[in-house]
Amino acid sequence: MKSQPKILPPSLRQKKRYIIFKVLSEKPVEYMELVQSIWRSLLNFLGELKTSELNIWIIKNLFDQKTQRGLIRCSHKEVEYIRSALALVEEAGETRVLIKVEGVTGTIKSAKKKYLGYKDLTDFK
Amino acid sequence: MKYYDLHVHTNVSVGENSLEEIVEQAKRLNIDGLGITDYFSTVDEFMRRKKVKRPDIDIVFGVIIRAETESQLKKTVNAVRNKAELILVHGGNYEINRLASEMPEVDILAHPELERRDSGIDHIVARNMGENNVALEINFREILESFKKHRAYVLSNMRRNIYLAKKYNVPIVTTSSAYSIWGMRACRDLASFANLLGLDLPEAIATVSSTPEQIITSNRQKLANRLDMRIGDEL
Repeated sequence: MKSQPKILPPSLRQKKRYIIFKVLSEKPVEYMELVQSIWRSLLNFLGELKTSELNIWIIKNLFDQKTQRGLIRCSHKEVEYIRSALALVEEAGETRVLIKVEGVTGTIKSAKKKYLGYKDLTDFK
Repeated sequence: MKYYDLHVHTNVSVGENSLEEIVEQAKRLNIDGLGITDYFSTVDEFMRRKKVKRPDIDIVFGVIIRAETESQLKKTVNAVRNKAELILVHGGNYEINRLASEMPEVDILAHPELERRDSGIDHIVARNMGENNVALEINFREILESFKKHRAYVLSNMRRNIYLAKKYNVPIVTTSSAYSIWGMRACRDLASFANLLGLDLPEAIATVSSTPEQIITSNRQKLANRLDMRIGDEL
C-alpha cells in the first residue's frame, strides 16, 4: 500500500487554469521573495477563506530567473481573483515590482508553447 | 433539535479541564450531547475512568485511537468496540486513514488531513467510508490553531474532503475537538464552517445534530444487544 493517496480519476479532479505572469522590477527578483509577496497580497486582499478556495500553486521549477516569467496553477473559476491580487503586489524583497499577467491556459504544455518560448517540448514533465 | 459535539478532550489525557468544567461550559453553550473522547493506553484505563450521568445533558464516553501501525489499530478497535459508545480514529497517516475507512466498527475518522499537504483522502478511502458508514470529521481546532497560509491550506483540504464525502454519501460530523473549555464553541456556530466549506445550510446543521445523534443511537442499540446476549450466555 502506498503512503500517499491515489491520484483521483479525471472526473473527480479539480479543474485547473495556469496563469502566466511576468515580473517587472528594478532588480531581478528571487523566487522565494516573489512567493512571499504574492501570498501576502492574497491573504491581505482576499482573506484566508477565499484564498483556500483558489487552490493556488506557484510552480517553482517553471519560474525563469532570466526572463522573470512564471506560472501559477489555480482553480478554473477563480482566475479573476488571482489577477486582482497579483495586481496589488507592490514589492518583493527590497525592490519595487509589478506583476503583469500575460495569459491564461488550460495546460502547462500550451503555456510553455505559447508564452514561455519552449521550442522543444519532448522533455515535458 | 438536539446539538451534539462528539470530540472533546478532558484532563484524563491531553485536555486541560476536568469533566465537570467541560459539562458546565457545554450547558452554557446549549450543547445537548457531548462526546468525551480521550486517549487511553489500555482498555482497563478506559473502563476505570470516572463516568457520570446527568439528566440535562447526554454524555457519551468514547475513545480516540492513535495507532502507529495497522495491526495495532485493528487490535485496539476490536478490544474496545464492545465497551465504548463511540470510537474515533486519529487520522493523518494515509495508511491509517485507509484502514479505518475499511472498518465498520469505527464511527468517525478524525482529521484525515492533519499535518499533511494533501487532503489525506482519495476516492478509494471515500468510497470505503461511504460503504462502511465511517463518518468524516470536520475538526474545528485545526482551523482555530492554524493561521494565514497554513489555515488556507487546511480549509482547502477540508473542502476537498467534503466534496469527496458528498460524492460517496459519507456521513459528516463537525466537532470542536477542544483541549480546553475555551476551545469549545456552540454547535450551530461550528455548522457555519461546514456551510462555508461546501455543504448546504440544512446539511451543515445536520453535521452537528441528526448525524451524530444517529451514530450514538445505533451504537447504543448495538451495545444493548450485545449485553443482552452476554447475560443469556451466563444463564
